[in-house]
Amino acid sequence: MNTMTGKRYESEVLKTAVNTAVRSGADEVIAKLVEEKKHQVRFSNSSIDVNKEWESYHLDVFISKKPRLSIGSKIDTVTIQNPSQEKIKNRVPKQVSHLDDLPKIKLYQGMDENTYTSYPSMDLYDSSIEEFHRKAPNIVKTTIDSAENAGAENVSGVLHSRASKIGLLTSYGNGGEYRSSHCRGTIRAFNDKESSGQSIVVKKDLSNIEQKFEKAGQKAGQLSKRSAGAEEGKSGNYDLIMTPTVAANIFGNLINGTNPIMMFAGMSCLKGKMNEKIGPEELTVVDDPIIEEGLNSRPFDDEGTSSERTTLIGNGEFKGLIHNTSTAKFWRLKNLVKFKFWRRPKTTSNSELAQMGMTGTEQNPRTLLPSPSNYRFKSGSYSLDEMISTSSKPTIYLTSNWYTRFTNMSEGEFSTVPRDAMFLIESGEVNKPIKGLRLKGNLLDMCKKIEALGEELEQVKWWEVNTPTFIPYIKVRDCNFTKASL
Amino acid sequence: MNAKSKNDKEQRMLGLGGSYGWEWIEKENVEETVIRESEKLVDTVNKAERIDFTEPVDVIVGPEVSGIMAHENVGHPSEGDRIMGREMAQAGGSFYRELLALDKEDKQKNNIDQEEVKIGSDCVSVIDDPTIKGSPGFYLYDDECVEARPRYLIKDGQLNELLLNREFAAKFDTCSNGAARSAGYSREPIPRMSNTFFEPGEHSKEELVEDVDKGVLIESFTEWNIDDRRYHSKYVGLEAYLIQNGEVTEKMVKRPALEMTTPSLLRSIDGISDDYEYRMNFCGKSDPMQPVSVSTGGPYLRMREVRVG
Repeated sequence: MNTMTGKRYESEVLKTAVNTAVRSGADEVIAKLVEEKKHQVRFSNSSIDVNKEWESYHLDVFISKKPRLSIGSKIDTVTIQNPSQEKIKNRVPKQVSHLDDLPKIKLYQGMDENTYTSYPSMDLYDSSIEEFHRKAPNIVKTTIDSAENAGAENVSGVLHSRASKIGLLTSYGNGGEYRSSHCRGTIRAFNDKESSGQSIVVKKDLSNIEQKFEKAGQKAGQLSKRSAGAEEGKSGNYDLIMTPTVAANIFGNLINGTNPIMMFAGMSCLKGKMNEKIGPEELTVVDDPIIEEGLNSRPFDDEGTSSERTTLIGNGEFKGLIHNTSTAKFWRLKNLVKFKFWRRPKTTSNSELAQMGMTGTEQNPRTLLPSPSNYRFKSGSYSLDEMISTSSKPTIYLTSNWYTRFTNMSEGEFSTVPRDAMFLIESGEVNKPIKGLRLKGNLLDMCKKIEALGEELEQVKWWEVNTPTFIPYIKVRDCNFTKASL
Repeated sequence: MNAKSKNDKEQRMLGLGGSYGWEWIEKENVEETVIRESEKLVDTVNKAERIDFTEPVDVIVGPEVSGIMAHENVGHPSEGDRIMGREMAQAGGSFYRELLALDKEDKQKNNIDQEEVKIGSDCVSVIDDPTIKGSPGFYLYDDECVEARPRYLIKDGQLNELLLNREFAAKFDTCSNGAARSAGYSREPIPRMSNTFFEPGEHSKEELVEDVDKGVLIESFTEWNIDDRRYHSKYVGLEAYLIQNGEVTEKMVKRPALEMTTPSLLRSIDGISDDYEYRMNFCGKSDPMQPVSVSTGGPYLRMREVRVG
């Protein structure tokens, strides 16, 4: 990790990019320099399959130009690998002149023109990440051993680590630099082919990281053992207790609807529900870019806007959207048209140079979009044991899920497939492991039926959860489970 | 696409594309396709009604639905790396592991002869073919430089061939059949699908319908999912019509749901149409995620005695 000491980082690169773009005719510019090193160990059948490392150093430049007397601007991006002064001076003017050939984008309404003299101070970098890749194979071995000692026959999983240094400069003079690091892992233990348990580790603070993975391995192993001999579940109506992993996937899909792009596309079931009660009083969710343990925490967004918390759901009421400057202006215009003059949304520091959809391996941004940082739910007052013991009705305890798909995202109709250990709770006690069921639900309906929130938050991020989410165990009443005909 | 009526809403994802240049836009007549599909969505949101089928009925699925079934229920479980457990913490495993009796206890338990694993009815053959020019999953050599060729994953109802790269071919003691694909230079080439479809049969669509007393014709779908062993699957129809007395009626059925295991789905098929149509899609797998373009399409399939939810 020697390259992460910032030797290759030069603020001159950012200044050259912005100045070159402006001199070439761009009205607004963002230059973002990303230096990162990622490491991954994948394992299956209780042994390591691959050990990979990716190093990258690139400059993303976003440019816009507003034709005279026009609504909307022309925008474009260019990514320069291993940027040098020469490369920037060669590539950027060409990209700016290319803007003339492009159509206007109505949704782009400009970037943050305010001046920020300071940003939140956060410690997002643990220097022990620089040696983490050396420890990683041993951590994997310890994790596998602890899962097997707890009852697993074989163990699969992945361990990731990432260290990055971000530098940003906008044509309004905003930006700065920060370092960030984290590691995360997924452990899936199998007692037999159909009996499995999963646990995850998501950490920025790497102290005692070996013990955290050891504990996660043990948890996955225990779950796999407990789920052995599962009986076919019966379709029907049950109360449901979700682990944070499941809750982050299901309720994360609801919270994703606070993105105005999702609303524009008809893919949010929250559309038209602003200021309405959508959940119990105990339900509060914020977008939190300044929580130090958050994987996506940052002092500023990609427009250089100072990071701040945004309440999305407050005491059960749908309170806010995540915005960048463009969507905030667009929303203001929308409110104006609807004669709602008093509602003047502004950017919530959620702007990100990004792309939409599956486009391959490259992460080169194509546009500027509102994007969540970390979702943080407010914890409740229940322990898992209390949730289980107070279950008088047949209740399903779901530890993991995947393949959540929607019949209609604007209604919130979906189904999802339980994966790994699933248990039937009867008379307040975990009775037996079950299998072969599918959860069918509606996001809004399930949100209203939240009965209990756990007292501890866990950060979730894995294959099925894209936005890092701090969330507790959640209990929901009256959920439908279906079953495939054999 | 979103359509809204007074009381209802429907959504449609439509994948169009191919391995062409700009000429594809004219060839495919994209504008007309989008208009036609939009009109069908408007029809669905305005006309479709829920029907409770208390007894199993016959179901005919169109190219879009048969394509996703070929992809999810047959293509994915045929991937060698899944069968050997390599994707267990990500994209999952495959019930083929038990079917092929790769573990001693399964061999003893099921008394299975690996050469004769019957999984579907006799008329069912499923092909993965990367050599179809212009298709979304087109390539001539895979990402390990192995020459591409069509692969019969299921032939006449029997498991026939798996999807293998060099690494997993060696584990199965055979040669790669050119299924290694990588989403980029910095990603592993792993076993992937290309264009996966049920082999067209001998009937016309009309002939398939003629022989149905009561059933549903499902032309497109919305929600779908499958467990990570690729065994329990679910497909919810979008544009769907009631079939009565051998004719497709104008009565539209709202969101008919098929929730079936892979063997029950493949064994229920008794007729396949002679035409073929494809849609473009992206398939995601591995970690880091590797999206690759594939086609999901095929002929019409007739499935007998199916429970419709």
